[in-house]
Amino acid sequence: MVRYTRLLKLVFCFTMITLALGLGVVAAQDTQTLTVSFPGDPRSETVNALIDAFVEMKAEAGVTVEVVINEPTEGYTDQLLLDFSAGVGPDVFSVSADFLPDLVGSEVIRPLDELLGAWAGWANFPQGMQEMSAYNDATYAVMYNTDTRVLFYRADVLEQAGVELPFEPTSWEEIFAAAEMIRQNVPDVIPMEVQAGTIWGEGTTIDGFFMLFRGAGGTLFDTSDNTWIVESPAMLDAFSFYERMFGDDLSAAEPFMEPEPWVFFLQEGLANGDVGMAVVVNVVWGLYAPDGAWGIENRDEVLSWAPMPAREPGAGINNWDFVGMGGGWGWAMSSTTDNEDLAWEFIQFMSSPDSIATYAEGVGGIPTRVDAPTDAFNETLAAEVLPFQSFRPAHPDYPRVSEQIQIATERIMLGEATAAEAMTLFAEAVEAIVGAENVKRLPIE
Amino acid sequence: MSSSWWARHSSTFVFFAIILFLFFGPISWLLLASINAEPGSAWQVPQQITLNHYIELFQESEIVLWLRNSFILGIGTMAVTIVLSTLAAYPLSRVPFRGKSVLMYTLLLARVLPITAVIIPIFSISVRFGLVNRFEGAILILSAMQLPISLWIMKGFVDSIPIELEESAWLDGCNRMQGLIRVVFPLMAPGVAVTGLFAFLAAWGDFLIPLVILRSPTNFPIAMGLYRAFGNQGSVDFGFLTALAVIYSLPSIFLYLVARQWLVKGMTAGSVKM
Amino acid sequence: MAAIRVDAQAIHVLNWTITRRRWNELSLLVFMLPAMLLVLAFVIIPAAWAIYISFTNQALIGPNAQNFSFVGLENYTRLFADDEFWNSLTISFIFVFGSAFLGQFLIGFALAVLLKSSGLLSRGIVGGSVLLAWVIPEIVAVYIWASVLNFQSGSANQILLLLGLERQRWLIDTPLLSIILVNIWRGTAFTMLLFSAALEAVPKVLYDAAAVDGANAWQKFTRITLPLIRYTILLDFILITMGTFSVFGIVFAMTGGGPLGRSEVIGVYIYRVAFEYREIGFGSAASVVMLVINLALALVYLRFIRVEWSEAR
Repeated sequence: MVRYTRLLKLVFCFTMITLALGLGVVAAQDTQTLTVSFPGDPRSETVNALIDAFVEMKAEAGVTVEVVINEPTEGYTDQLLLDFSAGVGPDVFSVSADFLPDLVGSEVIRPLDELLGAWAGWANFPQGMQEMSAYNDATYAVMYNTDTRVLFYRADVLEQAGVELPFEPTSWEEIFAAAEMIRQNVPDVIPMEVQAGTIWGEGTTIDGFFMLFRGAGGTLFDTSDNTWIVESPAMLDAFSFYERMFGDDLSAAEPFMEPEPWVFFLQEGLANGDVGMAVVVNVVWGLYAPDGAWGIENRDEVLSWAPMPAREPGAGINNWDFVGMGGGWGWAMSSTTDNEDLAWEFIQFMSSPDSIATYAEGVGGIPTRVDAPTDAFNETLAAEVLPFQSFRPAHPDYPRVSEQIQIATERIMLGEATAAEAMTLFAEAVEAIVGAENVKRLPIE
Repeated sequence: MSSSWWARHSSTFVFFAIILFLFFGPISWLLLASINAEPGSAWQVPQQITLNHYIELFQESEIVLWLRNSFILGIGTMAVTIVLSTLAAYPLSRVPFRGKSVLMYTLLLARVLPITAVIIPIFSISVRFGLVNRFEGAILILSAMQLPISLWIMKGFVDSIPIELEESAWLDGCNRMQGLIRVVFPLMAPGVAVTGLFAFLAAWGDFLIPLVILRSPTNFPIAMGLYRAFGNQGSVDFGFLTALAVIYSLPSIFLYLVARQWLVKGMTAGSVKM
Repeated sequence: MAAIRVDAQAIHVLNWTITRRRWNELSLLVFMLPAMLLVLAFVIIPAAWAIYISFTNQALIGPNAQNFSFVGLENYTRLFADDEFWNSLTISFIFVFGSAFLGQFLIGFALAVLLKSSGLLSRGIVGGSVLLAWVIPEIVAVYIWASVLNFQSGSANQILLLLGLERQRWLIDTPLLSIILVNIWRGTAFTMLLFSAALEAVPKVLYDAAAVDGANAWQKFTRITLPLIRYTILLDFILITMGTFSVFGIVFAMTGGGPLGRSEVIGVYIYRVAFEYREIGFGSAASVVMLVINLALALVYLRFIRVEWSEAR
């Protein structure tokens, strides 16, 4: 028994010594840990490959980096918020541009200005991309991917309807006229779709509402006096577009109300030819390639696109003839990171021309750097649409105002409010959210 | 079979037929689509039957890893719940102490809060205890959420075991502990079956706790794998989705079939005596 | 004198054994510790925290995340002035009434009764398919119903078309009905199981005796079965009411509470307030109101049980 106890003691001592040595060796190896969060699938594969490349690069430089990756496939924003609320935010994270002001207000995100000032790569980001990640005179992220929206149409459907091709509308009237011809001549097809309703979330606001609102010259948030413009002729125009589209049976509400997993009827409808034309994010173009997720065998023959026109030439914001709305994703650093140097190195690596091009190739979208190689489609977009690109207001209250926009379009879509009524209800709701002193109404003639 | 027999039972059969149609009809979509060479969201009899979706699942996805993770969660939660509720049920049933009924009802009510209301404190506590990104953490939380109902079932079950059985064991020279082990535990098998089945089903089907606690993809359970079916901008791979959903459902069904023989007994004891 | 001393000693010894036995008994409570600790950490404390937070202005993130302050009943006054809250409460009541009482309870009960007297085949097939809907994971159930209710190609509309009827916009025009149907589909098995178990426990002798007295099936049911299983009925009410009140996942995935809040049960409302609007304090207040409603319902049920018990004795 005594001997047994002694044996135990020996084993114990031995274990402790081994552990201590092991820990010492590990510590001496200078392992650095970096926690990274980004929304997972379908970006997972591409981003993980990039992260592996970063780790390898550091290993070649003699530094062992362990990257702890957090990539929820669902509820990315919720999880990020939970992490920050529990004090375990990641060192580096991917963030959607419209979410930045909220994070800035929450003091969880670190301004990058002095780092950017010392970085040669920053000059290769066009001004629009630099401004997209700026809020309150500071820059908080490096955008790695951006997008825009255009009018996609089925050339075969339009041809069958008797619309002259190529379809290059310069006003809303031309769009309505083409839709009307589809309705009359190709009865089984939904003539057009512009996103509406709450199920699509932010998609409705940026892909749908803003593409119309900007086309009518609208401004939602007046930065000169920091007020929300809750009623304006442009807003009435945008809502009236919806009213006419749904009221004249030029579109269908049902696809916008499918339960979560099947909400993407619109994109699928374009692929099958069930929808004549639709305002959609440019990313879908790659998915319609013959080997894409919704491969169309003869894509270049049946599917085409045109820039979304303003209400009429020159009626758009800044007196533009066409409209583009940009969203985007950037890499940001949390204000609590204790590994700032490594985090910044990581952001630089992920924002290199190669990394940005790799991402756009693997996932879609438009590279944010002028020196990142890209494809012909993106180059055309850059020439024809990006000059008319505008962005959503950067404000912490934006997400809730945006939700009210979605609700307004839902009311119109379901036929429960006219454009004017929806706007009145919208104005009241926003007033309740941001306070009466922070809204203003422009006269409607 | 006389015509009057039919007349008497026809309404029952109509009822059964409707129930069967309503309950099995939707599930049949899943089964049919998973073996359809061209699956879609519509219900259709496959023109061409194929097992390719299943084969591809095992060849091209990490389904083995997902299944492993889900089994760790399901079986772990089941084990923790069974052990803890069995241990606790005996004193809850046999030992009188002040505030017992208050305790029992507090347990029941505390679970009423929707998960959205309590996920924030649950997450904060997990962070404080270092449980994030660990299976132990997810298992403990899932077990804790399952324990109130399990304690109710198990307590009801011990209540239904006559104390006389134990007393006779004590007269035979057993002490209380031995009586518990020799007499009570064997009789609790049906209760264990119910508790275990409920715990497994809850853990196996849960989505939010693994999402919040088990963050790295190598820890993801099979529920998370379902999202692989949804590609960029929402393209849906119906073959992948339905085949994975079928495989995902099988262990639950299997466990139910195993536990079924004890289920009626277990629920009777738990329910008749409140 | 001596006798008294002996008595005192005896009493002392007796007291001592009683204490010792009681002590023995109390030591069994140690077995409860692990379960109680776990429940305390992840069920009771979060619930208590939610109650506490409902009196503060804590936000999910932002300046009010760490340095929140006590605001008294402000959240509650705001809540009771919020139309959307009342809307979600109403929706929740309809949802619970429709899916738990009219659906799960009645169908589950009827199934248990009818299946008891049916052959193995119908028990296996009919009972089995009802159970299948309950056993499969929630997310699979959501996908199945998303397919069934799909406007363009869902089987519900396929059937309507076959019958020569118009397509129905299930999730637009009747969102609440749709989620009630899904929840009935999902939860009926539990009630069925519970009552199957309870019916099994009714002694056969009683029916035989009633048969001798010439009772028909309906009389047997109302005179023997119902009185004997009324505790089960009440237990089932409690469990399915509470279970249905806290339903979140299915509704969130199917309709997101919409359109225009017409299927926004309270669980979805709380999610929206706490996560989308980041106002945890306010969201917690809504949860506490829900807790109180459930407590009230439970007390009503328990009162019934107590009355029954005293009657029975």
